[in-house]
Amino acid sequence: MTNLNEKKTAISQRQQVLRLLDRFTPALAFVALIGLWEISTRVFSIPSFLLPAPSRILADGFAVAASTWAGHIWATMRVALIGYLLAIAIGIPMAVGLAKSRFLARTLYPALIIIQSTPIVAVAPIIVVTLGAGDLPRIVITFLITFFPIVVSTTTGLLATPEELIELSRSLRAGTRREVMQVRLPYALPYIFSALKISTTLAVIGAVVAEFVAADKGLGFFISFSTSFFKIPQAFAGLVFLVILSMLLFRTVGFLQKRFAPWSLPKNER
Amino acid sequence: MNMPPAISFDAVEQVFTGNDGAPIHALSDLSFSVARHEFVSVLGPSGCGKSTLLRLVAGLIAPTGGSVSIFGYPVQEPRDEIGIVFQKPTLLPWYTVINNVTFPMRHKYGRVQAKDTARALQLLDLVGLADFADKRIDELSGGMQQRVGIARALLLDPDILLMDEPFSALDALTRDEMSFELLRIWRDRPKTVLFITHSIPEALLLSDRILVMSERPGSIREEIKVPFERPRTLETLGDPEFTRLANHIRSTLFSKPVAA
Ligand SMILES: Nc1ncnc2c1ncn2[C@@H]1O[C@H](COP(=O)(O)OP(=O)(O)OP(=O)(O)O)[C@@H](O)[C@H]1O
Ligand SMILES: [Mg+2]
Repeated sequence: MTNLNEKKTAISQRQQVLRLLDRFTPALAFVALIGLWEISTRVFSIPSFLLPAPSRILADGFAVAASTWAGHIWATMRVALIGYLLAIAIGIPMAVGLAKSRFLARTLYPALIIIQSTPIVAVAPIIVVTLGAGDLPRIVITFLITFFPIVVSTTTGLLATPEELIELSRSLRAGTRREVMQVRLPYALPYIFSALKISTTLAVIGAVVAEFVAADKGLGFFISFSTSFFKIPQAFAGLVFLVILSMLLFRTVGFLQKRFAPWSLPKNER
Repeated sequence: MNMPPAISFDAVEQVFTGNDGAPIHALSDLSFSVARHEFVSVLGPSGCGKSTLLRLVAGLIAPTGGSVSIFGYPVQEPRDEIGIVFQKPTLLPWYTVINNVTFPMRHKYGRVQAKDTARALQLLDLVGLADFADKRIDELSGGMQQRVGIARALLLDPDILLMDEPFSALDALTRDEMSFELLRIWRDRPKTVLFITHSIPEALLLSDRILVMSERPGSIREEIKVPFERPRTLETLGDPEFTRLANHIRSTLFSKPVAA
């Protein structure tokens, strides 16, 4: 009897270890990768202007004052966030218009596709010239990069609403506004959220591209500035912050979805 | 005084255009009427146009020929006095069970009052789901979802209740239970009921009259008056006449129309 119990606890202990391992696999893999990177730069003595070692990036990163970092991070985040929120505020109502009105669909869609087909990176310098200094051109560039996926996904979701649900709404004669607010938009939420997640990274890309063109602050500016002075490890440190910023925005959207619209997630992700 | 029938179809034709552009003749020369507070079932092979018939009554589509009237007035749009139980549960996963039941209020009037919620709870109790009021839709089985749909259709206490195979997702036992429950609701608050089903015993147990439809393009092949006394009980199912009628309907459904 005791023997059996011991066996049982042994098994459950093993299961616990496995579960912990499973849980920390991503973190462990990450640490291993960094370790490998560090070792290979040392073993093959790769010069730091080609690929700096993680320790070097860390050291050079700390050499820059915290307040300087904060200034650059805030500048990029501000532009990315404002552009992103603007894209949501304009993109979703526009999607409703596209989904509900054949006229809008026929007039706006071609224009949207032209905007989307234009490489924004190439237009960025023109936008900067037209809109002058300040955050405005950067926000516009970020907006232009982020809003297309939002419009397209939202429209797709609105139009994918099953015919039965629309019939239910029609049988109650509730009107278009409530049909959109209480049936179509909620149905489209999974589509909207997947676009919102993709767009977080696009927003950061947009802000950085804009800063490459013209800026005196921001992580994009910091990276291009550092590179031009051959401070590659320092540029990498800027890159690290960009990655963190992107991930943070992405995670925040994921969190909001889980918190406020759990049903829009697949069952195993709630 | 001559009251117009609750529902009447006069030589209704329904032709859809398929995805390939070819016409689909769903209903052809369909005429029947349902008296006020009558319980009428519609039986027919799959695809013969039963759901289409129901959509016409609901005012969700307009007939391509003939006319559909409710209380003597041609149907032009959906009307307030109609409650619908759709063939699929058509619930909204972003609302809880209780909010799905009160959805007609929220959707139609923009707000739900305490008395609506109270009534919704009562209806959930009626369909045996009182304990699930605050659950999400995906926590319910298919049969439970269908019962939520029934409760929702009853929320506004409609004069005309349209039910499209409402019990098809239920197991046999719940099905019988729900049938008797429906009869009780119908007796307490008389309504005109148009009930679509695939089950011959169900139609016999519930209805005053049964319309048997032909294959597509659907029209009425036979009308059967159901003679059993009300209230009907489990004993009704054992009546020899019950079996005879059931067999008769079955042979009507299976026999092909005689070539003219
Ligand atoms: N919106 C539509 N567009 C094209 N064809 C349609 C449409 N609605 C129904 N039909 C066709 O009309 C016919 C009748 O459809 P309906 O849904 O009324 O059948 P049903 O009798 O309810 O069948 P079931 O018992 O399987 O539910 C079918 O052949 C269907 O393909
Ligand atoms: Mg049907």
